Amino acid sequence: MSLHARVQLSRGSFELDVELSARAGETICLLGPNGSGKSTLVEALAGLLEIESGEIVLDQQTIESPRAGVRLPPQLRPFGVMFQGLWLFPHLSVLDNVAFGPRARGMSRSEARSRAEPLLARLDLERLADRKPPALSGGEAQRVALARALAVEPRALLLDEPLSALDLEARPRTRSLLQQMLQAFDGIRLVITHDPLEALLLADRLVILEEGRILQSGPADEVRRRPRTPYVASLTGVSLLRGELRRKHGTPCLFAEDLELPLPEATMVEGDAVLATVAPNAVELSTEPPQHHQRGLLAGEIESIELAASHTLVRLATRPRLCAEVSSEAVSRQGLRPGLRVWASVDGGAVDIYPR
Amino acid sequence: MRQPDRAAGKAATLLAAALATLPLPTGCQASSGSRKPAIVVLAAASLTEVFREIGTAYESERERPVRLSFAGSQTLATQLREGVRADVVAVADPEILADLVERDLVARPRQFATSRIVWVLRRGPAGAQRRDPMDLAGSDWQLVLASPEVPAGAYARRALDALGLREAAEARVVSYELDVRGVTAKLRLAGADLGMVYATDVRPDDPDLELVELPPGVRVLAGYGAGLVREAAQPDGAVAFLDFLDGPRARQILTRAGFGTP
Amino acid sequence: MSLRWLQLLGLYAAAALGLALTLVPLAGLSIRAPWASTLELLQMPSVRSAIGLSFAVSGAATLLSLLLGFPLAWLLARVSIPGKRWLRTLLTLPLVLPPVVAGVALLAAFGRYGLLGASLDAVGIRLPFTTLAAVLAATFVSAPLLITSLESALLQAEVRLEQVAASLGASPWHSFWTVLMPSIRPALLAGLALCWARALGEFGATITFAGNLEGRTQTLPLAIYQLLQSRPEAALLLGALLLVVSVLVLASLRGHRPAP
Repeated sequence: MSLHARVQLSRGSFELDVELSARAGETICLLGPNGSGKSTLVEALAGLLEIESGEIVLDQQTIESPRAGVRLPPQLRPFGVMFQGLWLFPHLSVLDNVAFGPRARGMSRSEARSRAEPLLARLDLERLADRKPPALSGGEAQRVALARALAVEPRALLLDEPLSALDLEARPRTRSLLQQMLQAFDGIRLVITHDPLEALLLADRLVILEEGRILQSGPADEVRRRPRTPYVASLTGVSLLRGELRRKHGTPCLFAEDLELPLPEATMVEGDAVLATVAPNAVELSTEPPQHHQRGLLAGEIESIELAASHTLVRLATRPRLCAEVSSEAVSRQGLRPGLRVWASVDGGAVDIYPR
Repeated sequence: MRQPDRAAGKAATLLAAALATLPLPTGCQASSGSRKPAIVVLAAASLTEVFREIGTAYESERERPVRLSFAGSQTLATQLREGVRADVVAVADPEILADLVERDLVARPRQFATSRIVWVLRRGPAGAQRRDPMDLAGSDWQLVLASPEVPAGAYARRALDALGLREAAEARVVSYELDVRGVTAKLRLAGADLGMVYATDVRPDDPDLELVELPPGVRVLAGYGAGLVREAAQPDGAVAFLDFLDGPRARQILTRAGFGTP
Repeated sequence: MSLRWLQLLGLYAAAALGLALTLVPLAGLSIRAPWASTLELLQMPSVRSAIGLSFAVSGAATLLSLLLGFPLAWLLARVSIPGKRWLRTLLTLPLVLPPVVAGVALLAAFGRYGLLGASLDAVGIRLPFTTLAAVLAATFVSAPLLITSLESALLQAEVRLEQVAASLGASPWHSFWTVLMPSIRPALLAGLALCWARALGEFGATITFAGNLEGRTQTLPLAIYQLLQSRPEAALLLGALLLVVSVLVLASLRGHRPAP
C-alpha cells in the first residue's frame, strides 16, 4: 500500500507546494514550524481544501486530480484524520464519538457500537464510555480522538499535532501509547508535529516543511545528523555552515561567509560546495581576540543567552550564525550579556562536513 | 415617463388610506403661539376629513388648539368607558351616544349631521360597462362591509335587509372591517369589488372609487351625535366647540362634504 | 451612603420598573377577565373558529418561516456573498415596519393591483381575503425573528466539527442531523418560539392584507378586537386565555434546553 501526494494550492499569499510519498508500515513525521503549511496539507489530503494542481493517489486509486477532474468528497476518502484540537463531538458520549464513523458509513447503531468497544478497550477508555467530552482530561480526549479515527478502519492515518492538547507531564505516557498504536496500525501513518523531540521519537522517516515547501526528507537519523537548513539544524541545536572547501597556504580550509576554518588533513575535493555542522561544544567564546591559529575565528555580538539546567547556550549574530555552549559559571565570570562583542573560535576537527 | 409617477402617487394615497383606518390619535396641528390647553375631540372614523377641517376652522376662529383622535365609534365608546381623557366625543350612531349618556359618561347630546348609506364600487377601466350593484346575487364579486358591531356595518345590514339582498351579500363578504374606512381601503388596495359606506366617505371626484345610490325608496340615514364628556378637563372649551359644531361655519363645512344637517 | 450602594439601588429600581411595565398590564388583564364565563365563551362558534384558525395560521407561518428562513440564515452565516450587510438589514426590516404598513406592502406586492397581483390574477390566484394571505402576513412579520436567531446560531456552530464528521464518512445530510442540529437546537427552538408568538399576536398586517372574516381570516387578535366593540368583557377574557396559552407554550419550549 502506498500514498503519493503532490499538493499545490494557495491561500491568500501563502503557497503550498509539497510532494510526498508514503508506504504502509512506516511512520512519516512531517515537521515544521508554525505557519509552515502542515495543517493546510492535512486539510488538503482530507479533502477539506481543494488542491489547485497535483494529485493524490492511494495505491491505484486517484483520490484527487484537478487535471483528471477527479475529486472525492471528504466522506469518501479512506483516511482516518485526527485534527489539531481533537474536535470531539461535545454532545455525544465517548462511545458514540468512536462509533460515529462506522455509523456514518451505514452501520446500525449496535453494529457501530460493537466496532467501537474493542477500540475503547485497547485505549483504556472503557470506563469512560458514557462520559461526554467536556468531562475528559486532555490525555483521555486525545485517546478518544485516536480511537475515533481508527474506528473507520482507514487505509491511512493522518494525525495533526496528536500530542499538542496535552500538558507536558502527560506527554511521555500518551506518546508511548501513541507509538504502540502506530506500530499496530498496518496502513500508512502520517504524523504532523512542530515538536522535534516528538518527531524524532515517532518517525521512521522525517519530512521537513518550511514556508509551504519540503526542505529535506529522509530517514529520521540522517535528517538529524545531516541538516540542510538552519531550521533543521536548530532542532538539534547545532550550527549549520554553508560554504566551500579550498586550500589556503596548503592547509585545507572551509570558507563560509566570514569564516575561514582550518581543517585537519582529510579526503576532500578542491572547490567542493559543502554543508557542515558545528556542535555547540566545539565553539569557544572569549571577550579578547584569541591567539591560536589552528582554529577558525569569528567576531560578533551576542544575540541571546538561553539558560538550561546543566549548560548555557549563547547565540551569536556572526556570519555565519553560531551557537556556543558555555558553562553557567563562565557566563558570570566573563560577564556575557546580549549585545556584548565577543570572539568565537571553532575547532576544525569537530565539524561534520557533507556534500551540499 | 409618467407611469412611475402615477404609480408612486397611487401607492402614497393607498398608504394614506390604510393609515386612516388606524385607531390611533392623529392630532390636528395646534396653531402656533397658543398657550391655552387643547380641546381633545374623539371622533368617528367616517368624520376624519370633515373634522380636520372643522378643527382647523375652530382653531383659527377661537385661537384655541384642538386635538383630534379618530377610531370606530364603538372603539371610542370603549375608550370612554375605560376612562380615556377627552373633552368632546362625536360618534356615528345615536344609540351609542344614548348609551354613553345613560352611563353618565357624556352630557348634552345632540345630533349635528346625517349621512346616507350607499354602494361603493371600484371604477372599471374606461369604456367598460358599469356594474350594477343590484346584480350582486348573480355575481362572483368580493364584497366588503363594516363589521355589524360598528354603526356603518349595522346600517349596511339594515340597507341590505331593505333591498332583500342580505343573504346574497353575506355569502359574498370577504371581510368585515372594524371601522368604515377599512371598507374603502380594501376596495382601493386589496381588490375587493363592492362595499357599503357612508356617502360622505368618498369624494365624488375620487379616481378609484365611485358611489352608487341605493334605489329610490330605500334610504338608510346615519345620525352623527356629539356630546360633552363628563370628565372633561376643559368643559368650557368643550361646550364652545359643541356650539361651534352647531353653528353656521361648521354646517357649511359639513354640507360641502355631503353631510346632511338638521 | 456609598456610591456603590446607590448604583445598586438604581439598578434594582430600573429593573423593577421594567418588570412592572410588563407585569402590571398583564395582571390588569387577568384580574378584569371574567374567568367564570370561560366555558360559555369557548362554546361560541366564532371564538372556537378564531382559536382554531389562529393556531393553524401561526403554526403554518412558523413552518413557512422555517422553510424559507433556514436557507436565508444559511446564506448569511455560511456563504460569502457580496452585499451581505445590506441583505441582512433588508431581511430585518419587517421587524421595524409598523404592521399596518407591512400589510400595505404585502398588498402592493400581491394585491390585485400590486406588482405581482395582475400575474397572479391571470392564473386565477387572488391572495387578499384568503387564509393563505393571513399566513403570509404573519410570516412576513415573524420570519425575521427566526432568521436572526438561526443566523447567529449557525455563525457560532463550529464548522470544523462538520468537517470532522465528513472525514469520518458522514454525508452532508448525516452531518447536518447528527452534528449541526444538536448544536443549534436551543437557538432554533427559541427562534421558533419567538416566531410563533409573534405570528399568534399578529393583527395589523393581517387585517390590512387578509381582511376579517370569521372562519377564514379572523384570527384571535382580530376576534378580540371585534368583540371589544360589542362585548368588552368577553374580549378581555379571550385576551387573557390567549395569554395563558402563550405562556404555556413558551415555557414548554424554554424547558427544552439540553442539559449541560
